[in-house]
Amino acid sequence: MTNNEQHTPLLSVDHLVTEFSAKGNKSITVVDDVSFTVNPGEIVAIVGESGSGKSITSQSIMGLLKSGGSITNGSIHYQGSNILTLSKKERRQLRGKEMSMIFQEPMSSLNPMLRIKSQIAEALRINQPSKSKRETMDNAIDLLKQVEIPDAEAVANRFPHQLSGGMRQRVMIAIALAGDPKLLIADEPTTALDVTTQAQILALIKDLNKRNGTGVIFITHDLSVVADIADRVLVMYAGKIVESATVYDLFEHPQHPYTIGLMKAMPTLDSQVEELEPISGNAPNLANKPEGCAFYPRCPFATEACLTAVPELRTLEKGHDVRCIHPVKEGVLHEK
Amino acid sequence: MKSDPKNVLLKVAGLKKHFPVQKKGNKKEQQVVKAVDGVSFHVRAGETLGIVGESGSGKSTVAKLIMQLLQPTEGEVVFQDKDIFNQTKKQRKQTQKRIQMVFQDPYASLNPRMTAKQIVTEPLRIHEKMSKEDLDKRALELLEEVGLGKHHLNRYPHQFSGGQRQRLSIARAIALKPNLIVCDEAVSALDVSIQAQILNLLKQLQKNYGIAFIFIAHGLPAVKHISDRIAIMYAGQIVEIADRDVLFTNPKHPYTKALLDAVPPSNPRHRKEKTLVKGEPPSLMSPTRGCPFVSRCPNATEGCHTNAPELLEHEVNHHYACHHPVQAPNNLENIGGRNS
Amino acid sequence: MKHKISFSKQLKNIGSRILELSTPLGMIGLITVSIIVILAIIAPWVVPHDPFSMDATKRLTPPFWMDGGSSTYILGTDHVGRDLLSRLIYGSRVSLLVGLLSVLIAGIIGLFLGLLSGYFGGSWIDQSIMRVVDAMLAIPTLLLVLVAIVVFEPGLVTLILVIGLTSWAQYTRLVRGEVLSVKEREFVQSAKTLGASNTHIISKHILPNVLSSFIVVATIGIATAIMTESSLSFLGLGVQPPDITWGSMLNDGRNYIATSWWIATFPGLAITVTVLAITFLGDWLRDILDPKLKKGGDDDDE
Repeated sequence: MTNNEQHTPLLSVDHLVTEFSAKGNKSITVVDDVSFTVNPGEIVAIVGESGSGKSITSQSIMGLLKSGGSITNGSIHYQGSNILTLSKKERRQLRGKEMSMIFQEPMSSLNPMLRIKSQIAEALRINQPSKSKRETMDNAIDLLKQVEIPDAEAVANRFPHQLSGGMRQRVMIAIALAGDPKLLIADEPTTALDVTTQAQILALIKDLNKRNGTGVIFITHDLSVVADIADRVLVMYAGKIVESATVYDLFEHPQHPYTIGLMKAMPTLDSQVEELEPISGNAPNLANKPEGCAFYPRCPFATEACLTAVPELRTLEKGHDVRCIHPVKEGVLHEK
Repeated sequence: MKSDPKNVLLKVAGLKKHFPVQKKGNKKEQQVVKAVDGVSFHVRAGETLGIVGESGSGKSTVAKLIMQLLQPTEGEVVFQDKDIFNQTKKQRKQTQKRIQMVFQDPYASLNPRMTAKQIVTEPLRIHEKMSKEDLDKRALELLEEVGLGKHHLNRYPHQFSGGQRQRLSIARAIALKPNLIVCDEAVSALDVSIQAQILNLLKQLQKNYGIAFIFIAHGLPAVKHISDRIAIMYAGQIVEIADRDVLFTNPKHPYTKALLDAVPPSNPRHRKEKTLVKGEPPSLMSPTRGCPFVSRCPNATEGCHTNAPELLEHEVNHHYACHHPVQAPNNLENIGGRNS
Repeated sequence: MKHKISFSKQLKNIGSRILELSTPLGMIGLITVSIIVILAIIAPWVVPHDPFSMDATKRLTPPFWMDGGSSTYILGTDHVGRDLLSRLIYGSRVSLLVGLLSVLIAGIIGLFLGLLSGYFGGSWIDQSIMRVVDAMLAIPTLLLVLVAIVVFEPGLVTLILVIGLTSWAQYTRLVRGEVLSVKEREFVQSAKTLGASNTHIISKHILPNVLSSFIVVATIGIATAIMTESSLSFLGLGVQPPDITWGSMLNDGRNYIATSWWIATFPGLAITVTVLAITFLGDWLRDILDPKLKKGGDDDDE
């Protein structure tokens, strides 16, 4: 269970709506009424497939939406104050110092022309401009050691292309940690990495979270990564949170048919099934979402009611919310 | 599963592919990247051989060699008793009919300027003389075979989703009723729910037509799901090859075990303190005398640095290349994701 | 058969894209170019006066809105009393003819050699073609054209041939680069695994995918050719009188620029407007010919 609910959470997102403008004065709602909190020292995973809005949620929080995208409703509170009302400059000052982000492709996030140490030093200087050059360099090496880069002094003098994918992601994490942020947003940080490297990076993020008490939002499409790292999980589908629970609750008692479908569709090492049970069909086009529940065209349990009624996110028990008219718990699920 | 020599469809023996690279500022010193360095295995008719490896392990180069997109430096690939690198143009075309490939990226592997119909009938237009009516009929059959329909015939690739595009690639691959399909990371780029659809489709096609698959991937769970036998590649070599269940319950090579350990659990209850393998694969340019895994191996001894182990059949159908194989196979706690 | 179907399909596709993707600049380009082309074709029937007939009494008449201007000569007359508007309309014929035909010649050579060079990238064929291209590109086109004009008789045909034969190198280089990248794309690899022949791969997979960037550059090449033609005619090395071109009109007006500015200004404007319009058109073609064109704005997680 999550700790200290009476305290102000580190981050609290309430009824966030992010839209992108489209042709003909239309707009597409990519993030639809998303609410969640992140407490200090907690790892919250957002899991979903392409087009679920998970990445846009994180970009909304960081204030890094691409052109055409804007937050049209809701609020984002960081340590109790609404950051959406801040000026651009104040927003920028939050990044790095208070919250920072790592991405899927570390190569494109690093400047190919600069040595690793300069890139880390740059991030350090933004936060502590008063330090001497010597001190900054020492700190940079310390950071590299902190992310368990062997032979940190040598690596500091290299260029990004001289490093492997796993090493680059470590460097990215070091840069993200330069401002000693309280919130780290990781957007599919291990998707482009090999299995053994992925395990190393996941262990590193977990370790940093434990050691420094950094709150982490971990965005992924991979349920097994969620199982490995998360404290709490939000499952997103077509821009909405369809289920939110602690990681144990979610895996033991999944309530939303989509969550269940994902689990059945995922091949695992310990399953013995010959046939996977895929979710039929494709994710809906966000510009043209079905009325009623967005998942009903693919849902094996859908009834007449799902066609028209838009399900609300409701709390089934403390800490377990689901956006479904027929959650498993209520025992009305009968597969057609 | 007995190895029946008559049943062998494809035999790869001592296959090597070295790419020359020029070192900066030093034109004389020719170095080579040993992308594939002595790989041998076979595929039986109608079975699925999984090839697992991380980036740089050489698994995709093996696929390209089998597809004759590259010429090997050494070694041979024997398909239906004929060496594919040593045949006349006519024989070659026949072989190309019998082996097909499905690529990883469904966005890159289809010509954006062709319709679905043109895409799936292209193999027929190249190899068979068919009338327009027959082609149309066959196009529809193929699309239906992979779960697409008549209304998809005249669409262009960008009008399909990723999963549907991969279905198109598969329809195209089965058009000539091949004996072998090489799938290079065929589901890696797809969403989880779509991945399962494609894996099931491949299994279905195998059941219906007895097609053999070489299924190349870096994701162990998907490979485990679809394969009969699995080969593990590391730094251009096969380090272990065994029947699927044997490999997952009784991995012998320390690298296989490391890979299994690295797979995240399928349930948070199975989280564990893992002993992670350190470091990263060796550079393929440096000449290796010993075992390629020596720098990361927990079992390595002096001998491993100088003496490369050979891939040998230590148990029936279980080959591995290691001087100090993993002991105590039944300690289930230590095997990735298998905790009760 | 099949070809026709897919071609008409493609035409229909392009038609709907034109409507869907109309941009202000693209539309300006398309409309302006269309007007110029139509005027050039129907010139003999629309010109208000005979563009060749001189009338010393009407010489140096200013445009109609100026003192001494007349509504018969809307844009005024030149130093020998010929109607400027009529001459401008006739001049577009030569400019467009030179532009289109020279780019056609250069394009065909460039496309062919580029495909060859790119597809067999790294081979001796590629090496030798590229060395010739390097040599061609090292010499300024205008200089090459000047030499050629001096050697051969100046005139329309010479001009077209000379511009065409001296400007193919840039197309070769462009097409080669495109082919080199398209060749590595997976769908070409995929066709190779099928056992497709080289001709099949080039015609079905590579050519269709390099054609759109080629068309865009060729369009802009037309504008460049028009400029070259004008420059040469201005220097008196291009089309010879009595044939009318904007370049030679510009030359005619050179001596009168201080007193009768309109003689040089209107042909100058015509060149500028045409070249700009063609460039807009080219930029816009790049968009509508892209098969994977994003509709924009709706990209979420990749």
